[in-house]
Amino acid sequence: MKKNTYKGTPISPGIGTGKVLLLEKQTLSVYRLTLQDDQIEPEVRRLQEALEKTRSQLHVLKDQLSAKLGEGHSYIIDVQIMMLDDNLLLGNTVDTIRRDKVNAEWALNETATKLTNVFDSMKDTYLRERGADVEDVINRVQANLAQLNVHRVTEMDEDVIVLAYQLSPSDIVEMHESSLVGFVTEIGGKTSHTAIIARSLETPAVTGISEINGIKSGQTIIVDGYEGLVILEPTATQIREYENKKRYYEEHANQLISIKDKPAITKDGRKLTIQANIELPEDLDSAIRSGAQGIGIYRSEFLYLSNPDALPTEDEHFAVYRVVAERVYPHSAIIRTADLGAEKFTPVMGMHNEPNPALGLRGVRFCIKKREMFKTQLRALLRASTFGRLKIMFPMVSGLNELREAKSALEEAKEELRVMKVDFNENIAVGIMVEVPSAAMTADLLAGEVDFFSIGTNDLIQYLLAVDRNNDHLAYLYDPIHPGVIRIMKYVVDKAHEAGVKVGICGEMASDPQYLLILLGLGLDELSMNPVSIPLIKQMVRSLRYKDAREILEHCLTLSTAQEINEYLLEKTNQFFPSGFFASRGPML
Amino acid sequence: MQTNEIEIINKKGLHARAASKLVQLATRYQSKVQLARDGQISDGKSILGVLVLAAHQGSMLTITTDGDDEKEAMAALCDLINRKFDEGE
Repeated sequence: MKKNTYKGTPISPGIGTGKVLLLEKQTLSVYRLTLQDDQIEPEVRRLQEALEKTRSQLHVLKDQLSAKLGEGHSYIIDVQIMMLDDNLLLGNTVDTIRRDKVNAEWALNETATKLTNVFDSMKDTYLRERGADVEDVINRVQANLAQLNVHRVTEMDEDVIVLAYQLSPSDIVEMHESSLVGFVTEIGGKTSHTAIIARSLETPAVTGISEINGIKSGQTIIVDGYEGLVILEPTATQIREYENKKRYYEEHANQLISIKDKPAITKDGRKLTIQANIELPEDLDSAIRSGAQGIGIYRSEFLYLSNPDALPTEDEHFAVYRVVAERVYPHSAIIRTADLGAEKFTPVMGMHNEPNPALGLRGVRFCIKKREMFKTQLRALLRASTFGRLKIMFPMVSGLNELREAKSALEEAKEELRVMKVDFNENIAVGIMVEVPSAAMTADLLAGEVDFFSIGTNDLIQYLLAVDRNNDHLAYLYDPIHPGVIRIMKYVVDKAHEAGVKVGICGEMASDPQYLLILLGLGLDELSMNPVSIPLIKQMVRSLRYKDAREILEHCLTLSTAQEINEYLLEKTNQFFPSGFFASRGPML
Repeated sequence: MQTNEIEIINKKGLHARAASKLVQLATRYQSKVQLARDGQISDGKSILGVLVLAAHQGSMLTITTDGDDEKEAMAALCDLINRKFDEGE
């Protein structure tokens, strides 16, 4: 990644280029004033007037939103209007004014603190995020009490990308009226109302970007809501690249979607399964829409990381896996058991920062140590297995002993359910991520004891080449087609097929058109990727011959450097996909 | 007075849209509507009250209605919950 590029979480797809507009975190200082007795009722009226004013502002917003999107989404503002009338807000605040003889701002602030504390302590992420809606309403009332202009962005005459700590749904609606072409926030999840509104208004958005050094309003910035990237002061090349990418989406998206229900089959009849990588149940929509034939990896860490104070319960796990199983059926969904540890853990797990997290207590190693936590997830997975076609995948397995250890925990979980007479699929498929080089080199031994492999190229490449892929100084060494990587992948696929075990790939490499010839030639059975990439890769598979890909792979195996392989692949890719196919260069090229 | 225990079965639980439907429905009746979950009691006509119950899928909710139209109110509320708030999951 280039130095001017920052990675966050995409929450609304699309590409926007515009001028930075920094919105400072709005903090109104609230002072406590003591009132004389005869000031109390006028103060209550002042509060009511501010509420009334807020109500009419919200009605205006609601009308704007309904005009744009129909009634379907205006409920978000409706809920805020209902909050204004709510006794918990109004009644409590009025009581505080009268009882403590304090000003409306102070009383409202007390109510706000109580309410947000309740929301902050909720376990359910979706419900917890509703606290932001309450805060937004209260901030609006505060602004009206202070007689400030609530409009945070007014009259912009050029395309603007807003950067803020947090934005509310109503902020987005207001700004959309002018020239908002994208936004970047520090907090706000995929399931926040802000994200929902942004997707409905087709405004590209990225969240989870905390600090951009030296950024100033007025600088040029690109927001890539497909991949969660933000590019500050892009170079001429980057601007061109993104113009192409944007055009690509606009021109080809519909055409590609039209092939979504066709099989991924080569011209000479080799069938591949193209699946989606997802992290949240909310991602299922885009996976299904893009024509994924199942889920190749469901990263289950989210449940653990969304609540710092407690581990997810078996029922919480179950509810999620059941939804995944049901929605994806008749296709299958591979759930990867928790890949926690490294930097991903919460206080409740009793972990500590490690000097070398990539090589530390993580993945299945961590789960084996936390056996009860592990079995909770496994029991939930087993219970959900009767609602569709779930498969279990263990991450970071380094060899046979670890696999057996993980499987013994699974057997225990099964036995516990049998004792409780709970139904589950006795023959649930069990596989591993092949991402530790020692697992890859013992693929022949492991294949005898699993139902499937999935090559996790992100980590496999990092471990094989001893290159931290996030280290800017080493970026030039991180090469997915280093001859060492291709050889090890070939070994894994060959050994798996000798044992009759299917192999997939679920790293970023799978979505890169440049590597498709190699992946196809290796004989991989399943490719799992970001949903956005599925239609393009499927279209490519449908225009290739397996026989050609095998020959190309054989030739690559005779080349000695990544550079030679790259050049050869580029030449071949251009030959198979001449002008037109990537005329506007695809999103991943 | 009517009391009924009911499970929240829709996927997202009593989230914003579902909670607002419930409150709007409760407000149509004269009767007092009270919701309780895990010992926490809320006014069923208060959106914030309903949201702070944090009733996710699978939680048990105790509904109490009290007033002239308590039976109708109870029937309508249970029906809304069992219809999964018409969310078409």
